[in-house]
Amino acid sequence: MKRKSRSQQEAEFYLGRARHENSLQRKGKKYNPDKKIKSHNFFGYRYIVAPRNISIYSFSEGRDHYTDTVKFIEEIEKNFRRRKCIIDFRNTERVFAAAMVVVYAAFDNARINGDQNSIVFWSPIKSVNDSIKRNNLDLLIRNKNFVYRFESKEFLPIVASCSSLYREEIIDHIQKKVYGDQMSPETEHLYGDAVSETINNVNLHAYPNLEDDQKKKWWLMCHVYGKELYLAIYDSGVGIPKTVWEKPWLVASLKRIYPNHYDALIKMYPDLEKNSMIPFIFVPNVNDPILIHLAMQGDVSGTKKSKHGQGSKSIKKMVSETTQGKLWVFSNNGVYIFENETDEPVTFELSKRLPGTLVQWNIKLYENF
Amino acid sequence: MKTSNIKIVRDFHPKPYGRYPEDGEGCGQFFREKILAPAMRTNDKVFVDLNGYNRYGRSFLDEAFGGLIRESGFTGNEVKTKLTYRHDLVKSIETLIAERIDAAIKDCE
Repeated sequence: MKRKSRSQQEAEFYLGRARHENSLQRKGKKYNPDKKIKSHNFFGYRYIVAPRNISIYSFSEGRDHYTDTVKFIEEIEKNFRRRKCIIDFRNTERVFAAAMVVVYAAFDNARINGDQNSIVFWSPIKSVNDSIKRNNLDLLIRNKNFVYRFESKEFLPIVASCSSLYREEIIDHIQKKVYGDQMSPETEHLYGDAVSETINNVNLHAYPNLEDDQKKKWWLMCHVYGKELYLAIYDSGVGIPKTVWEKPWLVASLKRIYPNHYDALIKMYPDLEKNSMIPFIFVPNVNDPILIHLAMQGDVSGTKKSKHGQGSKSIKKMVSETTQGKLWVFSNNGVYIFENETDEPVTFELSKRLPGTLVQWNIKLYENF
Repeated sequence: MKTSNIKIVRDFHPKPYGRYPEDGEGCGQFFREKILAPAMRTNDKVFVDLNGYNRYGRSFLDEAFGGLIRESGFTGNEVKTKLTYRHDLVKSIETLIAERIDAAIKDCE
């Protein structure tokens, strides 16, 4: 039997007593599954309650899993390692992979907050606990060391990395474990290009104020569900909208993609194209979804800067060339969803900011690689 | 006629990646500056063999080949008449290089 630490024993004693007192107080009351439980302090522990659905896909009013998840992330960033915490997954019924990456990154980033230990309260749902364990999230929360074994695992846990470390190993994993070494050279290039360019974008744009490549962190999740492959890369950098303000192609791109916005701005600022105050003009007038959409464009003609957007082109090509592909880009207060070159991408404004950028794509795996 | 044959995985890097030096030793800028552009200057024909690696990123190819026109001072005509390249297994890499050269020519018109 595994020996429990004194702090764990203490916490369990107090929690057991609290549960008993709570059951007495609640006698005759009805359980309301929709009631939201807020995080609070409890006998020296910060009690951080994970939401019922750890998800970033639903952000409409009334079913706003996104906001609940971002609030959870904020609690983690504020408290984890700074004080003793209980990370409580007992209400959690579902964990979506992309949200798991962001939550994982929040714990990983918050490790530098201090040295206080935390404990995990597990969910009654097996699939939730499996997801937490398989991704090493419980080890991260309990400050245990672990190493990635790309070769031996069928399931690739969330990978934390920086610069281009593990880039080849991730593509090797897709090639060997997902495609059973039957991937065609063309498909290998499609993956190699898309993964390389996404990682390259993080290094080039996400952390403009950091010199040290070791601090330019990213987290990657690559899972197969049924016949679909989900890949998500998250960075906790400044976010796409803040990286585009000073780009020479910005105004030309706005003119081409959002002519009405451009006309409105030109009326207010006739010298817009030469104006050095573009960030101050754009912030109140152009929202984050539009800025992400502009950043996701490929070559912009007339700017002499066709280098721009090669990363986004690689990812969009990957999604376009595979059946039922879908690309999601969450960055700061915007979401951009792309399915193919013929349909217009969809954008949404988010009520709560997701710090950094999450690029997620899901594609249907080929029947015969 | 003087001809240079460059095999990227043998003569430059086994796993080329990225655009700029901060992306590592295998970046497109280094390949262009150290190998491709000098070969273009001293030879009548240059052949680049891309075989041996299938995961070339778009940024590497753009910086290496499009950069000849944008950064290294070659004209589109020089690049198109002097340079040939081949990847036997992934023809889309050849298409991508042609696309990046055309984009660079358009940039510098």
